[in-house]
Amino acid sequence: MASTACFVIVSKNDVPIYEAEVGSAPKKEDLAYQHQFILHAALDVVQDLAWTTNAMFLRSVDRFNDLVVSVYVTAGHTRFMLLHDSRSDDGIKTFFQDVHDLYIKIFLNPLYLPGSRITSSHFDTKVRALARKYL
Amino acid sequence: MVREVAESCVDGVVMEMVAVYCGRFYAAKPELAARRIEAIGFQVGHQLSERYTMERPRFSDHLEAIKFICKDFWSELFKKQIDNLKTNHRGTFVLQDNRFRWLTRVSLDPSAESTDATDNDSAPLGDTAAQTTSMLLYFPCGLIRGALTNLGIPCSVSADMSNLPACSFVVRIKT
Amino acid sequence: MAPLTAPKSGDALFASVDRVNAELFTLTYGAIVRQLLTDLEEVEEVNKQLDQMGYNIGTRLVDEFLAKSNVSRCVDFKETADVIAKLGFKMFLGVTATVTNWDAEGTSCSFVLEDNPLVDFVELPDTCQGLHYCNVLSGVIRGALEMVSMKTEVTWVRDMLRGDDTYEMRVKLIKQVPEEYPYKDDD
Repeated sequence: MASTACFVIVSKNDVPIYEAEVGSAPKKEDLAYQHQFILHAALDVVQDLAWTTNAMFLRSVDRFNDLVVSVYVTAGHTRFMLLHDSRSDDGIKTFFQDVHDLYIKIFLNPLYLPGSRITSSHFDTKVRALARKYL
Repeated sequence: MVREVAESCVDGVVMEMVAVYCGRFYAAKPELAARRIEAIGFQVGHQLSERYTMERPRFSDHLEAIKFICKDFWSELFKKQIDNLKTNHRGTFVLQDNRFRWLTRVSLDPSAESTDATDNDSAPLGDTAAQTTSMLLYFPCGLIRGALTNLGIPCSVSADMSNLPACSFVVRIKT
Repeated sequence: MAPLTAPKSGDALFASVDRVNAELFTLTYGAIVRQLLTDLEEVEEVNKQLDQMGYNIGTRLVDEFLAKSNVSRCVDFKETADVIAKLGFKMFLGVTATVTNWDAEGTSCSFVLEDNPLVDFVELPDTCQGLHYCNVLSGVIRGALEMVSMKTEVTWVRDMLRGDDTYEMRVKLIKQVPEEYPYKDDD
């Protein structure tokens, strides 16, 4: 399992609507901030890249020391971003696809406002379980 | 397997939605009623476009997204594709359905409108059925606009029903 | 009173009607609920509108049901409840309900729904705790029963969206208008 892995979901309006530290390394608050900062900085790269391909899964779009940013973009331009030190592309792709399934269920809730924070604890539990399984 | 329900269920809630907004709430203000009905369609289109694009490559241009609406999206909703697609190549697309399902199925008899007759006194007389139809069409207009907006294509959508039961949806992409 | 032609089974009935992808129905209803929550200030008022919408839908669906199911008019409330649970729910929503908890007089019972397509994907946010999301269903039952001359009160007693283990609505017969052609009774 990846020792460092930070996962965020960014709405089409560039607002983070979900974030989770899912690596096995002990959690440190200042590191979590740094991770999110790196991911946020990678958004611009994603923006440009997303229009050049019609794949949902964009491999390593950015790097920071030994950490890599992988991204998955849905048709509605919601971005799943993962900062990680593992190298398993297949695992990451499956992780993204399974999170996409979970995300769709949130998105289809008629009382969920698109672009608002995902507060469902059920969603959070499932995402963490997927991270343990695939990353 | 895809879960299904009787089509009458959809017809029922759509007709009631139109009745609620045009009769009970905004009888004297059709433009407000229209905006609400369109907003309801917008939400559904927005959600379904995310749902129905899960298994496919993302769109890299407008025409691809419009074609998706004409084929996959329309088939999921109405079990048929859009019959004719025209464009002026300057951001306007006309999607024609030769037999739009909701116009052929839905009963437009205004007298079927329930117990709340007293609340409907202010409803304008005259072409009530035609008015109900034009109100109803704000819903599919919203569906299309919601779907395209979610796919990153802001636009306006209007309906032309001068050729019933054919119906044309005019999509104007905002630049 | 025995039916003249054998009624169809629930499965056959559901197979015989035009069907659509349930997501369109679920999401359309959901979007209506959300718009009503935006437009009406009180959740209680939304509950009332949903019930009224259901009532109106029920009064129309009953004709389609009788025409397609070959069910002849039921005489008593018990028989009617069974028909609604096994055939009515199945024909329109593709699921069946269980009729249970009859009272001694045979005038009130519960419909229990384990599987409810109306709520696929729905989670109630904290701001909507008083919402009876499924009120359209209870309205449909009330409307449909009124068209066959049974005036009822229908209330939700269990609701999975509010943390219960199933959906249960209580149907109470208020009065039965004994009339042969109840279609003409609204004058």
